[in-house]
Amino acid sequence: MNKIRIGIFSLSSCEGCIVQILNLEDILLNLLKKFEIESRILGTQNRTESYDIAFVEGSVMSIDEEMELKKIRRMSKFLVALGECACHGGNFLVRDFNVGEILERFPGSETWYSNPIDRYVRIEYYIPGCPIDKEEFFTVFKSLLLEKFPEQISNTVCSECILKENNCLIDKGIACLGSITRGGCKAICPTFNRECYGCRGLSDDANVEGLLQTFKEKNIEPPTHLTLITRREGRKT
Amino acid sequence: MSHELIEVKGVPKVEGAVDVVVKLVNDNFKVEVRAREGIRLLERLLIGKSYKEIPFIVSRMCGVCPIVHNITSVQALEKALSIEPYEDAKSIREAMVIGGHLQSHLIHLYLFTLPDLVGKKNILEILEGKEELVKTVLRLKRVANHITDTLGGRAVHPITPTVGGLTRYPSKNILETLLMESTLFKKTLREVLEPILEAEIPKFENRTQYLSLHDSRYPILEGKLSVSNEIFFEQEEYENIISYLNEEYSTARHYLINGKPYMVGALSRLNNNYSQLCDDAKEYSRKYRISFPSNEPFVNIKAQAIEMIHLADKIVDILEELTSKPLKQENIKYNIRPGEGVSISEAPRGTLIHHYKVDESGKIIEANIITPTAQNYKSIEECLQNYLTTLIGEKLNTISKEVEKLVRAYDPCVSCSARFLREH
Repeated sequence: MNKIRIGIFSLSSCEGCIVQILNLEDILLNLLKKFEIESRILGTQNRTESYDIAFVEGSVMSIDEEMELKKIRRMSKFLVALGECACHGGNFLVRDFNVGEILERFPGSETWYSNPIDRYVRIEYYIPGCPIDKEEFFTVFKSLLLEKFPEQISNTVCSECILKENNCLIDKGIACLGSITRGGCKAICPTFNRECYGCRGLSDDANVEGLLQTFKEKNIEPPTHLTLITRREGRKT
Repeated sequence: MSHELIEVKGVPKVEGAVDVVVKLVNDNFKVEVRAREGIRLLERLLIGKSYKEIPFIVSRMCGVCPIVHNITSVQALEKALSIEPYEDAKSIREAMVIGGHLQSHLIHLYLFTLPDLVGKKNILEILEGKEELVKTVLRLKRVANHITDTLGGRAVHPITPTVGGLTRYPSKNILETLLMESTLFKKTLREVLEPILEAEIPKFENRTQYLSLHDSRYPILEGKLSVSNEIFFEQEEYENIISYLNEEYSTARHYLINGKPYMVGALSRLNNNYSQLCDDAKEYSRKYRISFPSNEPFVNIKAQAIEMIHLADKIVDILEELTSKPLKQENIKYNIRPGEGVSISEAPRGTLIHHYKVDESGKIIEANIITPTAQNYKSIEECLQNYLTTLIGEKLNTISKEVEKLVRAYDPCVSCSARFLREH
């Protein structure tokens, strides 16, 4: 039987999501042995055949990357967006600035953009997060091998945080976005006393206005990137 | 007269997308190293943000060395606010950074470089026959990551380091577990070093300038700066020493000292700080006849391996110290005030500079970040130009392979470097 072919690709990004896959030390060896994995970082690239599953991290920032992405799509049965940059264009990090102001300072940058990959191609599944949660990656991977898509997580970070019996950061006057953010990260940031910054995107039933009202009542300044997260066109994840 | 001789598109087994173009200009080689990734505008988007958000954002510059980016920015902001955290918080941060260095070196040495050294294409080919070695390396990597996971919350994009200290302190139990693990790491590391330290590397000298921190102890997060132990300067003076230039062909900025290329990384650190290494590390370099200072760029690979011995030793020392007495689990209280701070550290790939100006409300008004790989680009180009002259007469295919190997020896990290928008 031919081995299942997996492609792991990187567009503009920090490559932290690929590093998270490499951080699956316990199973990495088995992954490498049992599947045919192609990736530049592993030096196993040879784009001549098709892929059963392709994982793409990073956002599209150039025509070259757009072409590369479309090529990967044509060659792949399933395409999975890996991480915040691929899912949302790295909204809360790289896109968060005043375009007018930057044009003034850097003329010629009109062409600058950082787009999520589903603006160009069809995506079968999204693994959000900055970086991705490696166990979530593994779970999704196993499902895809059976050609079954797991349901996108619909609960919030807040609900996962409550299950861990953490003290609420909003009660301490900290601008935590856990109550409007899609869960799946096991509330890792609030668990380490750091506010959730919304890297996994809005949850299905996110009540942004309600949260802003709470911030106002408690005299908490909302984080600057919240507007970007909410302004995002359509909700894909 | 100029024509393109070789183009290596997307050098494999390095962090990020980089192309190398070799041209023949009037019978001389001209090399261009082109960062291909999108410009990620990082410094610009820090402006106007609260100082508190900065460490979290800057770690996103690089998924391979996020910890040192995060902590260097925390240190720079602490300097801007004129505060210094308690020693215990500093030690925990240092342990975290060492965990990050160890995992980064392990990836570079075994996943990226070892195939070159033993004439294989990639790690998969190494698995045949050397599975035990790869298993041990992965076990070591897991321990290194476990240290940062535990102390930092997460190995990729850490959570706990914050201005004034940490958002969460580890319990004594946790520190004791980590001490046990790192003692085991120190011992097990010896089992995997031989293939790297013994390997034959191309004999090739390229005299250049070597920049690194320099201190009374082996420097990681603090110290003065040294250029080949000939010029010394304070962190705050870096702008007088390091100059930058833009090349049309790359999305990264390039840097020079005295108008000439310079190298940063493990080789520079060892060239400038060999005597500060622990005895074990020195013994290994004697045993395998690797002497410093060295002008051989490929020795950078071996320098990383020697450095791992020192870092493994160091992390055991830090954890022994932390577990020997009650831990001070407290952050420094401070008031926000306007100020300016520079912090320079040694990232796995070399000297890393973070520089911020903060206004009276704690908002960032200026930011400058200089990453190791951006500093190395000019050196890689110069070095390749010289290396190519030793390869005249070889087949183009062989030359391309050698070009890749030399680029890889520098351990470039393209994501870090490609974040500059040209000012016209």
